[in-house]
Amino acid sequence: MSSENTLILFNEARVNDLRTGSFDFSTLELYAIDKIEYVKNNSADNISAGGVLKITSGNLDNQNSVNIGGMVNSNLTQKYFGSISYSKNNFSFGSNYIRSYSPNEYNYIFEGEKLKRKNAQYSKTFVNADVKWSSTDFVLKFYTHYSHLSSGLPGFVVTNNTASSKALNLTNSWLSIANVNYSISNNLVFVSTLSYHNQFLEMEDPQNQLLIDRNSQSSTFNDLAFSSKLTYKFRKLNILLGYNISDSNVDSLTTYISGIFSSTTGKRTEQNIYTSANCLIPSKYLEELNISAGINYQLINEDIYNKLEHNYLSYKIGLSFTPLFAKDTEILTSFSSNYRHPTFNEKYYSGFFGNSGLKGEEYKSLNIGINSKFNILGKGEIEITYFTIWGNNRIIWAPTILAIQIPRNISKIKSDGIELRFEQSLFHSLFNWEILYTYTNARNISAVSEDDKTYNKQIIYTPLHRVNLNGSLNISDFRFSANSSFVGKRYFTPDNTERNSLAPYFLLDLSASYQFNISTIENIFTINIYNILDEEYFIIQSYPMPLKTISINYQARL
Amino acid sequence: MKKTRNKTICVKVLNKLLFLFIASTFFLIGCESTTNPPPIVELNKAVIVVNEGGYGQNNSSISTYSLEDKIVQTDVYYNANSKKNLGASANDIVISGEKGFIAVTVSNKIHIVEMRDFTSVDSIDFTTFGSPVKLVTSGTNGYVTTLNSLLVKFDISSYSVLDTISVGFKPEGIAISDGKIFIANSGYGVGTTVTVVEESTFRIVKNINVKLNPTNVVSDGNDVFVVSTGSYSDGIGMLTKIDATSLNIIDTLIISKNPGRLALGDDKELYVINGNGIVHVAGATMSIINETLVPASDVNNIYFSINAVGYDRDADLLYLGNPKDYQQNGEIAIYNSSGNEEGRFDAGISPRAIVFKK
Repeated sequence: MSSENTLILFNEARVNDLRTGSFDFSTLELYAIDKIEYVKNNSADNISAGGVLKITSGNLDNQNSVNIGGMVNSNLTQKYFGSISYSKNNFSFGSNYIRSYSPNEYNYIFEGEKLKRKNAQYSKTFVNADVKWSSTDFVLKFYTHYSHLSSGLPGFVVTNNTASSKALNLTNSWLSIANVNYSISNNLVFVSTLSYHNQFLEMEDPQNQLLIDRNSQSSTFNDLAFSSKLTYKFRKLNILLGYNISDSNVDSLTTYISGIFSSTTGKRTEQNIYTSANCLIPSKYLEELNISAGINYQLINEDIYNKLEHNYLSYKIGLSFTPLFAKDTEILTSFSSNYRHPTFNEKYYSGFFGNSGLKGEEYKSLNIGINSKFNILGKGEIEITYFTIWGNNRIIWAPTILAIQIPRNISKIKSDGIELRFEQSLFHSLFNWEILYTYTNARNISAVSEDDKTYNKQIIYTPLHRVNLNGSLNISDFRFSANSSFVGKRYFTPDNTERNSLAPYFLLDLSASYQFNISTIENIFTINIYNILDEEYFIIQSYPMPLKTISINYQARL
Repeated sequence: MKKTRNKTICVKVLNKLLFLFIASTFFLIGCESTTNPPPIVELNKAVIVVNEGGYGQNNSSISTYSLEDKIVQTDVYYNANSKKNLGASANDIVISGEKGFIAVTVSNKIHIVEMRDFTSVDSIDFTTFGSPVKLVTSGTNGYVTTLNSLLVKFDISSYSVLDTISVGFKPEGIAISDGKIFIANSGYGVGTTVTVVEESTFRIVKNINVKLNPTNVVSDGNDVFVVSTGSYSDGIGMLTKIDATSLNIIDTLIISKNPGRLALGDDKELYVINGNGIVHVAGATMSIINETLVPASDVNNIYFSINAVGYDRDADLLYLGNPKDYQQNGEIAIYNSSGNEEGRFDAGISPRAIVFKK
């Protein structure tokens, strides 16, 4: 499922961009993030076909510290950062400053020749700050960040053209979020969030490779959002009632994207009213039985070229239980119905092809899983999930006669598969390892005609098999880790011809770190080697990925 | 005690399964296809199809259809040249003697091939001149339009660039008549001129104003026919007939639904692709014989569009490129001059140019 289907919550604020439907992670800095949590399928308070990604930033652990550090890598990337965290009584404060830049001319192999990536350079500055006041029943938090990113757009690599783009991109992003969390009573909690996201984008295209009739184009995106939810707990019953509204606008939309048409401002207001409940039910035959259900009413008002109103009712139901004979095992099942409205880029990318009639994606998904914990040589957990998804009007980007890609609906897809996760911590956490395997059989099940050779073929860029195998060894002040991933063959054309497939690849990353103290200063020295096997691989056709990259990191904590 | 032993057995079994799983993973990595390409059947009389491929996907290809024994061959260049890629966005081909010249736009190359089996002879790098779009040959020279707004002259024997000249913005179609080269400056939808360059001096002799968005041009004797695709908002295009000697516009004909590529038939008849299908035009009288000789929906029942047209004068047959959805492999539909289907054969992604080797 594409990233637009994943709901992204940053400090509880919904930050999915109106233009892309996703969030531009390049404007963030991992170092400034305290916690990232992915909730598969649907979280308690949100119904989203692609799950929910929750990002938390801002002195979460109420620390008092000063950190400085830096990183250099074999692509001449340099990164420097400093942070301060302060906490006293009910008050806490945190701030990060990160500066990074790189020519980023990484090595890759294309058609048997070792080359350096062109126009992949970047320069980035990120600064954030947060303040929090908290008592036993009240939390007030304010977070803000500013990000400036100037980068080349490397473009595709094809035969005899390894520098297809000389365009440059500038993104200035400002995100501010205020949170209130108030426990009205032991049973009743009120949470409210107000956020404002402003993003300025500018593209310089000196050779008119992307913008046809001019050398530069800018666009500004604004999103003001408010959400509130009330949670009530009564014995073994939890009830949640929530409402959110976001008012977004983006100017120069079609001009910026298609490079042909004049400026138009697009506006969208989205409102969601939702409620959900879950209840633990006592049972003679089961250790624990949990039933959950939720509905979400979505109302969208759009104004670009013409006015449009759309509403959709999503729902979910779930059941989980623990058998009496296996108290460390949980069996889960859930069913949900979801909708994703087309993004502005999808719907208004190119006026002359009339894709303003693009339909939103609808999904119905069923999950059945088993999760079991055990303790043999160390704690471990195994989880197996079967999933099946029926999709309607899935949006894909298709090339056209004018060599411009425009979004189209595929009427029906069906995806089913198995996810297997096994993790274990051995010898008192001396050695930890995990393996994740996903089998995904995702097919187009609608044929436009008998001539359509895409019927019952695997959806593009979706491998049947994907495996991650990770391990870490902790010995005294040393830590060693290895992360590997295997991605099976993928097709980049929907008729699944061998000629238009991408080879499977296997990546291995190694890391070693040493922690030592000098006086009261805690020092961490880390060496990372990414793609140590120099695997030649593509995630997307014509975009070759880096060969081996070595980075050295140092961090001091006062 | 029994429970613990069972658990231990379970873990052992699980570990074995995991070992098998990881081992099979590495096995899968080593299982890449090593299939040899099929041998190329040498071509005598054949239809040659240039398939553009997906934009930026580096999968342009050549398909052939033997007119004698009806053998269809796909991915001919790739198979004839040890799995070497033709490149990205191949747009045109011209045959001169035993050699073929293929313009591969995004890969900035003209590939020269042996027409009997498509083995590569040489290539001309256009990185400094801009992406080649469409080409013609005349005598010992070849001429190609490029997206750097140039007309490039090259030697078809030594494969070297001889000269360049700036023409209008984003030139596309090109044709030769009466010792002059006619270039349609589409300007990617904003151009309004045809540049005329004298072959002998390689200098511009005139810029002729035509309707918006001139994209394609063919010549027959002293008549030059220019197709203006027009605006994408109203779709109104135009066919303009120019006298190659006087360089005056003789006549015009409005064609709706964004007319594009065209093929020249007998007696100055023209087969023009537009949004509805194939428009049959009498070039001599500049009148429409049949508004929709072949409906696009008959050729392509997915996106209702035709991407290429070729006319076989000997057999009086039209060959129409069906791109399907521009993502999957397309096909060529064969129609007679009455607009009835005669057959189909497979092609690559987005068939873009159709020529005949006789």
